[in-house]
Order: sequence, then structure tokens, then C-alpha cells
Amino acid sequence: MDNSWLVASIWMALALGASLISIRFGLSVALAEILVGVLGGNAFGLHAVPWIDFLASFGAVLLTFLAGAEIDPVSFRQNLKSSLAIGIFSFLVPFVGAWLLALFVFGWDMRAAQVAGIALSTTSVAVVYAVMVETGLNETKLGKLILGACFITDLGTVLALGILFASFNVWMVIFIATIIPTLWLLPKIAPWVISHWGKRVSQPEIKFFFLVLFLLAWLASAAGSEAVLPAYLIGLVAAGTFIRDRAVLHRMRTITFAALTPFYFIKAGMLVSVPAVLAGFGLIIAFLAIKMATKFIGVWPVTSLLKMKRRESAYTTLLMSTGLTFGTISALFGLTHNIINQSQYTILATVVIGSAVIPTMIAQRWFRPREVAANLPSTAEDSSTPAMVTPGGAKKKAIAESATIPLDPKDL
Amino acid sequence: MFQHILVAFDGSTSSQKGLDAAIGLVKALGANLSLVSVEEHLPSYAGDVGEFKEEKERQNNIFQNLQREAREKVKLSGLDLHRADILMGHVSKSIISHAKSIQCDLIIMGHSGRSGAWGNFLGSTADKVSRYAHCTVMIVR
Repeated sequence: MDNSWLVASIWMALALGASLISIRFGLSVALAEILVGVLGGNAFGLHAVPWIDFLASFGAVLLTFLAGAEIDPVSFRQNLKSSLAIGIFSFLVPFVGAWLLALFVFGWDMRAAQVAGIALSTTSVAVVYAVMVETGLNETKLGKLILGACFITDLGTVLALGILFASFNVWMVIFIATIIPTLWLLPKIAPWVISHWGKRVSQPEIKFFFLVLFLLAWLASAAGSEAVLPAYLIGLVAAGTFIRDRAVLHRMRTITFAALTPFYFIKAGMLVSVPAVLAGFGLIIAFLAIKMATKFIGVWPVTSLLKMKRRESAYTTLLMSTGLTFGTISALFGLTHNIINQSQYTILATVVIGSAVIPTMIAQRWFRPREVAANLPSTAEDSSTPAMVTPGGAKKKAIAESATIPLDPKDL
Repeated sequence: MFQHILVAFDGSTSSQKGLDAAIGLVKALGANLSLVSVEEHLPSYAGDVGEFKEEKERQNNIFQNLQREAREKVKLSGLDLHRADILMGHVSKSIISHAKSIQCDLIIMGHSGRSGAWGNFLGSTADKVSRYAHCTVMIVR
């Protein structure tokens, strides 16, 4: 017990340090925690104990649940066909490409190659969303279409992760027989739970969601599948509920980021071996190149068919090449299930982190769409926006928030 | 002389002085007065959409409150704001491009921002804006 407190202190100190680094440098806390984990694992021999492994797994489950819950069902349905088309190819082509590269060029075994395909097929919704907000594209049809496609890509990732390594035993039958009615019933039950039991100190509505996630995670793992699969699906169907009750989602995110995901991301970083990064640098470059190339092969033609301009097509394709959370979850799944070894995990994790940064930088630097997002009004909740007067004295609603007008970096 | 003055405002002591200077100039010249604030250090390469959204909301609240207070100060002087914008991204780039887009002819800003570590030196934001802005820049100490 004493040792557990010491272990907890060390990990929480690392998590706190990562938080402060993320605030100071404007990095995501996920990336900061991974980097802190790399330092901890390589310089200080940091390792996980069983209870940390469980908290990390729970963190990953909640992270995927929250990812699914961020979908906007209305705009997703409005752009469904286009998002499906882009999303399916955005997942499929990189999945097959990375799989074949690992299998036939680098000599990985079949299952390890499949993990590589899954890890490199992902798209980071969060990275894409942040870029969209910065450019104002999140309010445009193009932006909503791209975001919808990102959700489809990640759905492909979790389905592949959940199905390819499943056992197809009686537990799989029980899992399927349980999850299908759950997905149908949850949007009906959840609002009732929140309205009748919500807003109490004991947080019964959050415990309800945890119960659903725990039960499905148990059935998924008994079936040889992966707990993040039901978590993402549950998040997707619950998204409509959280549009009405954002406070519940906020509280779940608070719990997740304060007490759970630090263990997950620090563990993910801790397992990256710096010597393996150096030794496998060529493979890392090759995998990153294949990820981006296959995303282009998969996404670009579809965007052209959807009559996007060339610059917008390139921008869309590059953003779809990003990945972080789902990529690390997939790679870590492979390692913890002994499908890949630490060197292979290191290579995949490094590629995933690189894919969060490099395509984003290229897209922002050279392919930012020329359309200038119109100055947007402030959010609907803001009723106290400073009013403005024209020289003639008539009052107008101030524009409290507007997109940054793209500035050619060459001007600086 | 100046028809449209833009104040870069982040609530720091320096930017408050910039706003005071701008109010004085507007009274003397009868120019329009606009305000711009820039949200920086939003989490890049986020692992979760919510992390970005909540930080954006936090900064939105901070800057909306700051701009509300600024507007009240402007109103007490018998003036009002032509426009008030909150942008996000790289601070100096955002100010420069915004100034160009709204066609202001004078940017007023404090010499250094919220972090007081380099309080006696010209901040990098003021430095970059003064170098690359399309119009006159007044840096207030």
C-alpha cells in the first residue's frame, strides 16, 4: 500500500508537469503527457503496475467514448453521403497500404501488420477540429463534411480493431446480442436518467454511463475484442443527448482528464524506446510516407468527384492524414496483447505522433483554402457582446469572434 | 489624420495604457475606435475535441469580459467602439492581418503583454507588429 502511494505520487507529479507544459507551450495535454512518458520511461526507468494499467485502459475507453460523443448528429446527417465516401476511403486505403507495407516489405507477421494498418488508418478529429476553428471552416459546409468524414474514418478504425482480433466464440454472440439493443435503447434512456437523477452530488447519471461502458468493455474483452469499440459506438449514439446536456459531458471530461487519461498517455509514451526510434528511423519515415501517400490515394479522388477545388482537396487530404489518440490506442492494443513487440510499437507510436504534426503544418503552410470565412457572430450564449456604433450612431451587434484572415506567412 | 484606430487589447496594464491613449486620440481626431484581442496557446495537436473546445470557451469568457470592461471604459469617455473582435492563433500575425482587413490606419498596443518576465523590454508581439503592419503603429509605455 505504501508503495502504491509512492507510485501514484510519481505518476501524478508527471501528469502535473505535463499539464503545466501543455499550458505554457499551447500543446495538447495528450502530447505533453506522451512526451513526459517518453522521458520517464527512457531516462528514469518508469514502469506501470497493474492498477495503473487498469486506470490507463479506463482512460482509453472514456477517451473514445468522449470522441464519439462530440459528433454533431444534425450536420453529420446533412453531409452523410459525402462524409461516408471520404471517410471510408480515408480509412480503407491507408489500412491496406500500411498493412501490406509492414507484411511484404518489412517482414512483420500478419497480425502485427494488421495492427500497423489499423494504427495508421486513423484521423485525428481533434487536430482537424482545432484547425477548422482557427480558419473558421468549422462553420462551412466543407468543414462539416471533413469533420463528418473524420468520424467515419475513426469508426472504421475501431471496427477493425474490434473485429480483426476477436475470438468469435459464444461471448462474441453475447456481446453482439447486448450491444445492438443497447445502442438502440440508450438515446431513449439516457435523457430520462439525466433528467430524473441528474444534478446530484453523487453524479448518478455519470455512474450510469460508466456502468454501461464497464459492462460492454467486459463483454468485448471476453469476446477477444477491444473495449474501445463499444465505447465509441456508445459515444456516437449518446451524442444527441449531450447536445442538450453539455454539463454532463463536461463533468465526464473533467474526471477523464484529471484522473485517467494521464495514466494512459504517460504509459503510451513510457513504452516508446528512444533507441528503437533511432534504430528504426527509416521505417518511421517509410510508414509516415505511406500513411500520407495512401490517404492521398484514398481521399483525393473522392474529393475531386465531389467537385472540390484542388487546393481544398489537398487541404482536406492532409488534414485527414493526421492521427493521434486512436493511433496510439491501436498501437498500445497491439503491444499489450503481444501482437507487436516494443520496437514495432515504438515505430508505430512515433509515426502516429508525427502524423499529428507534419500533415497539419504542411496543410496550414501551403494549402490553406483561399475562401475567407465570413466574420462570424459571437456564440448564441453570449448575450452581452459589446455593441458597436457606426460614426452615424446606429448600434450594431458587435462581431465578438471572427476567423483569422489567412495571412501569407511569406509576408513575415 | 487617423480615421480608424485599432487597439490590441489583452487586459494587461500595458494594453490598458494603450486603450487610454487611443481614447485620447479618438477624442482629438474624431476617428473610429476598434478593439482586437487574440486567444493564444490554444492546445495544438489535441487528443480530444473537448480539450480544445473547453480551453477555447475559457479564453472566450476571459476576453469577452475584458472587452466588456474596455467598452465600459470607452463609454465613460463619451465614445463607443466601432467593432470588437476576438481572434485566435498567432498573436502578431492575427493583429497584422486583422488590421489590414478592417483597413485601420493606426494600431495602438502596449509594449509588452501579460507575462511580466520581460516587462522592461519590448515584447516580441509589439516588435513584430511594428515591423510588419501595413499602417502606423504606436507602442505605448
